[in-house]
Amino acid sequence: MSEIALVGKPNSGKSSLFNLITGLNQKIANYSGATVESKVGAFHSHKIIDLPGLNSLRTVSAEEEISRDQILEYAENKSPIIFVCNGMQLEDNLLLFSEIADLQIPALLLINFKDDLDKNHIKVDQSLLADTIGCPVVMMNSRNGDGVDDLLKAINKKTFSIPNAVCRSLYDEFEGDSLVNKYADRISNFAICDTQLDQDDFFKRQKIIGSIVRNCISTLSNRQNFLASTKKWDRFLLHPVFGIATFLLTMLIIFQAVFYFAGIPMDWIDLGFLKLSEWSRGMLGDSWLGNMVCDGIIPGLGGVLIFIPQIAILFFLLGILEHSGYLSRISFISNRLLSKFGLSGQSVIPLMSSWACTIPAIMSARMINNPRERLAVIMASPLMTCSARLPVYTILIAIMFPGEDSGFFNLQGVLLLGLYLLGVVATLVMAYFVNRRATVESTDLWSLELPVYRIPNWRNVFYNVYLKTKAFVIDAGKVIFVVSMILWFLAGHSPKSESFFEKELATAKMTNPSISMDAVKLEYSYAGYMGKLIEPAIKPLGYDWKMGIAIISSFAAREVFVGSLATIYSVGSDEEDLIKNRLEKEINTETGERRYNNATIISLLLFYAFALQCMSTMAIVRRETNSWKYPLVQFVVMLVLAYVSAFIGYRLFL
Amino acid sequence: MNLNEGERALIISINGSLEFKNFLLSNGIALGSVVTKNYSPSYARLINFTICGKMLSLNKKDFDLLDLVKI
Repeated sequence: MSEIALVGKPNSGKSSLFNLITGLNQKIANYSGATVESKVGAFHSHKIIDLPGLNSLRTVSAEEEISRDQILEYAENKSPIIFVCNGMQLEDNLLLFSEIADLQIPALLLINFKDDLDKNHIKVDQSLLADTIGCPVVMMNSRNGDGVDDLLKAINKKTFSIPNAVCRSLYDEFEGDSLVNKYADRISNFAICDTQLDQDDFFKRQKIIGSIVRNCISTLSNRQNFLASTKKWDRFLLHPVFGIATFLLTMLIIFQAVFYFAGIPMDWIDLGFLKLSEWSRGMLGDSWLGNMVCDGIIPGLGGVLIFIPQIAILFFLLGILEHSGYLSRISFISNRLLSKFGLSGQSVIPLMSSWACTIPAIMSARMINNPRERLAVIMASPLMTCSARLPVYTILIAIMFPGEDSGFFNLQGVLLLGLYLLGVVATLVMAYFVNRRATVESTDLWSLELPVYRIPNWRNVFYNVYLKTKAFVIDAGKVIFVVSMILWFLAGHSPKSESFFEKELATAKMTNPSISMDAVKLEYSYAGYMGKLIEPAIKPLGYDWKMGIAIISSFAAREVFVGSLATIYSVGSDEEDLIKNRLEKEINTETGERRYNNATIISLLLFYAFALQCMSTMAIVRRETNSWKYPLVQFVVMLVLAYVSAFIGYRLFL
Repeated sequence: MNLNEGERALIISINGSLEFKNFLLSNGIALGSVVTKNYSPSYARLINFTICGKMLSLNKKDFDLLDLVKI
């Protein structure tokens, strides 16, 4: 299977092309020695690799460096690349192409967004361009697949060829009697600065590319009309009042929609797992296997899978923001506000990515040029509300406001938005302190490209939802499966004998006649002892030993909390019920009131808003900062913040 | 020099550090480039302009390091 890399600038439509040609036949991989995601897929008999977009081989950000290093590796191995070029930004894209051409990599130039060129009556003389640059040129539209057959033909015929060099000769040097070219060395070690050479290189490129574009492309001036409608929209969406109001309204609609549209499918999933548990009980009986499946695995997995609708809706809506071009406007709008916290507009995308998952968000902080700002984002982004918090929030909010799910705007959505805003505020405050305290170097150079507004490419949006939801289910599912099994064992087994339980049940019935044998067994199980061990520490927060078990288990991954509670209450009950109903029915034996009252729920919400309960995040922070100091500081600071705020919240609402 | 929205200008000189000049080069901005100013709302401290068909934004203080001549 031949390997072909897709290379191009950001917003060149590279990822659309990748999704189009590989379909769902793709997976996310890491580059060797680095934690930057790359997508690998198959197109007929070819392995396609989607490299992260880069602006120039003269890299600025850590993410671009990874891409540059991969391109240098391709140059060394003479592996072919497809250079994806935004047809409406040909000069700019061809500048990068010329830098790569000087590395003498077998290439194919793909001019994307053919439809935009046609609509604006811009004609490209394909054969003249191919002759001039010295490699084949294919035109297509990655949004609807127009021209994909031409691409397939070109790939199958292996028409890749080494393009004509542009500035390569500037880097020829004599070593003894032989002439050696130092271009690749220079690119791989850009720290060696020679402004005069850089300027000469750039002017020559600019001149040659300008002349190529003038000769091969007609009526390029029509491009101004293409940008006109985007500029009109920007007048409103970047307006000091309407722009900011639109941004806030968009955020409110997103969080309301997460509740409003997810309610019905969530009930179906919950009911489905309840029926599955009943059916399994009927099939497997009251054996140890039956207990393990019905009280351990099924409730544990159900506790996570129930949240697929909400997570998918969140990813879908964030995908629309990204693919429509609006996400970059959010960077633009928020730049000044963020600067008060030592951040800039370029931190917005990593921070908003944290709403999906902190791990890729921390990795995407590589796009930030400023090392100090990057560190601040790495340290603060775990405080943003990631999708793993969503299961915890939604179940607790649903208990707090039962029956409030009728209209589109409801209290559940408002509280959810409030928790997301709390996460944002905490993130900004943390970033501010990191910026003040950190001693790493700082530079505030950055640029932001505002892409043209487009109707989102639905294929890309849905692929994104599918891949990210699948990753959530598989990653969380693996942890939850193991934790559920362990919890089931610990909650279902005890060092005490049956006669002890009977004696305890008789004693307990004197004060609480409705108590069941299962509840007594859970209290004296291994898990019960563990929960009781930490109960003195968590009692001031309003939690009992059962919640203690769920909190301990969720330090591996916070989304385990709901699954753990489902397993614990499933083991401790002799009847099947929905997770929410189980929690609602739980009674505080000391006060006789609901265990999950408003004070406890607020306390739990605050604890989960601030605590760093994700081992994978800590591992990635260590990797990105190359030190254990940062994740440890992060863990301790966030735990203290979580404990103190949960304590205050509990006392205020008691 | 102050450009109004929609005005075009030629970059005739670039002030600032070597790092800044290299940063501009990597963004396709050099002496002789033509820029068209789009918008610079005060709340953002950014200037957005069109160069080579793309709409790029720079910090206002960085943009001010470019010496421009209206065309």
